[in-house]
Amino acid sequence: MNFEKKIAKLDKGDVTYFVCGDGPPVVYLHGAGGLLKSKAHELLSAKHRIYMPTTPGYDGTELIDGIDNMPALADLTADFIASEIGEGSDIIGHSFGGWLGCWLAVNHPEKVELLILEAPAGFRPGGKGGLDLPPDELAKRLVAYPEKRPEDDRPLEMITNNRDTVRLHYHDGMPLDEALVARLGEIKSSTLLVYGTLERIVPIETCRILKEAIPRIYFNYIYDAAHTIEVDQPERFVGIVGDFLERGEAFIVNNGSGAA
Amino acid sequence: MRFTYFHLMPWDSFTAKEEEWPVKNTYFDPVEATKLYATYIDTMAYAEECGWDGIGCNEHHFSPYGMMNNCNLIGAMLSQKTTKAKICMFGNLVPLLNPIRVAEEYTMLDVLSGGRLMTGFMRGIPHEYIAYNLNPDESRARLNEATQLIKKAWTEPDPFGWEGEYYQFRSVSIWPRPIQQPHPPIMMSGGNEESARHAARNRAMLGINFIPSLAKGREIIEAYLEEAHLVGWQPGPEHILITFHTCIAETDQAAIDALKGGVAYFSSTLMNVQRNAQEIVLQKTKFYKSEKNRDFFVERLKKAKSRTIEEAIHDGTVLCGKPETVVKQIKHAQKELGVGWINTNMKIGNIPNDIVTKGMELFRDHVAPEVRDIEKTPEPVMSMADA
Repeated sequence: MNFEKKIAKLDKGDVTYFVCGDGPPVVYLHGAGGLLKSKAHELLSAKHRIYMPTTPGYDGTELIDGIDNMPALADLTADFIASEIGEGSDIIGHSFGGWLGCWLAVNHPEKVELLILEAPAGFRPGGKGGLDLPPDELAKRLVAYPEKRPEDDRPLEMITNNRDTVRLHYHDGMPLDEALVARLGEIKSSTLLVYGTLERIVPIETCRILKEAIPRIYFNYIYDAAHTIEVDQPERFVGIVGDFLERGEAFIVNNGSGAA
Repeated sequence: MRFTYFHLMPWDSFTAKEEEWPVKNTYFDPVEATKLYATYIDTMAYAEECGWDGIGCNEHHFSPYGMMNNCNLIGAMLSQKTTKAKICMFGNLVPLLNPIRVAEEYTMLDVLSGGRLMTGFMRGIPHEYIAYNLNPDESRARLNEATQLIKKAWTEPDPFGWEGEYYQFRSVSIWPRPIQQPHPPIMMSGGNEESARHAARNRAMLGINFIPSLAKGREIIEAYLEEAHLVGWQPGPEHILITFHTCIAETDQAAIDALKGGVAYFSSTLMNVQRNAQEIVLQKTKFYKSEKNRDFFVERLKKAKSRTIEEAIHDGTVLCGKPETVVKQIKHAQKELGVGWINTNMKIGNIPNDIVTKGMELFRDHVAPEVRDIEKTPEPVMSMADA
């Protein structure tokens, strides 16, 4: 994949990001394991310019003073969009990134066109699911088909540190962000929620909460995918996400791509 | 012990010597068929009066083998003609159909019947894939995906979409939703051990058809139980159903004679018209993943054709005789297999309808009272975990 590494010089601090492709902008917000560039991103980049910021502290980058909670991180992401894209952008958020995407949509609605949530974290009532599992079990729940996992040049320790330490810097392991739940109704963006049929990290209750609260949300199962849908089923992920990005809410209408 | 009354709705007066499938439909007499449908539906409804716990239908295409292309239509009629019996759909052939349509029609049946539906999620017999122009190689994968999709259609409280390998739906919210919660019981075919394991993985009931021997039936059931254990649940007798050709008459000889005639017509006429197409699918596709299962299917057909009724009775693979004999046969089968449900197929081939009806009354008066309590079969309720 031909991702170009760049650094956004923001007032609050530097944000490393990767960019690839041509077309309308899409900001991809990564999960708690850090940024894993996948086949899905490559496929999306055929029609879109994909911006993939690395959350400060992740993947060996420096934390930024004062950016130590999810709303503050959303503010920083809004600054990133203003600096590197200008206008608003479509947003894809996976897990931790989905949580962040919701805060961004609530606090900076002008920066979010379409919102795509891929098994978002932060809405786990009663602490169901989550990442606190033995490594073998966690690996199974993250990806159902490990053979599809793309090559990753990051050391394992870095990924583990992302997941075990850095994410806690932003939310301290909070399973249910009640402050955000109370404001989900303010999300104006058309939203697509995708959820794997093999998902076991984010509970189905998350989908119920989001479906109930976000006014214009579409909920789609992705068959035969675990938590990292884009790795397990990249074509299916891009099939529906790409269609949503292209046609917005009209994506529910068959345009000849062939339903059952 | 619970009993279901199965009807294939065969065309019972087919005289042409056809071997090709599909069978040309100039042989089909619509006026005669109107009478036949009426007779069959009345017979099926009568099964409730005769003490059967459920009435079963299934789906076949393009031949005199069975006249229920859409068995849900018959199920809808039965739902209005009966009040207690379960309406047992022992096929929809799910991979051939639009799964959302299956979810909707099954749910309609559950609501129409006041929660009496027992569903079948069947793959079908090989040549049916020619009828609806689907690749037999995909049959198992389609069944897997469609099963999960239908369960979601039944249980999701909110509209949802589905992005799958074979099925894509962007917005689903079926009306009505089922009375039975979280969803009606599901039965899957146990034609071989592979199928039985598939049923167990889906936490479905197991339906076994026309076994070549009780020992083979036991092997299939053991595979089902073993796989269920592996995936964390424990089926009981209420989850296992076995189908037998069943003929009950005043004497053993009368039953044997009637069954001989019916089986001869069934094998030489109804089965014969589909043999060629079946062989093509079996030889040229991967309908069966393993050669072992394919060979077993072929062998089972051969054996069904070549075995005498006396041999089948001896092997315990049919229920045939006077009531006292059939009582013994049912007790033996239950003891050997541990099943909670027996599915009786009594309109075999061209057995005259009055003989079928007489057999049902003998079942009501002399068989059911003797075998009803040999095993206390509870309702096969699905738990939320199954959804």
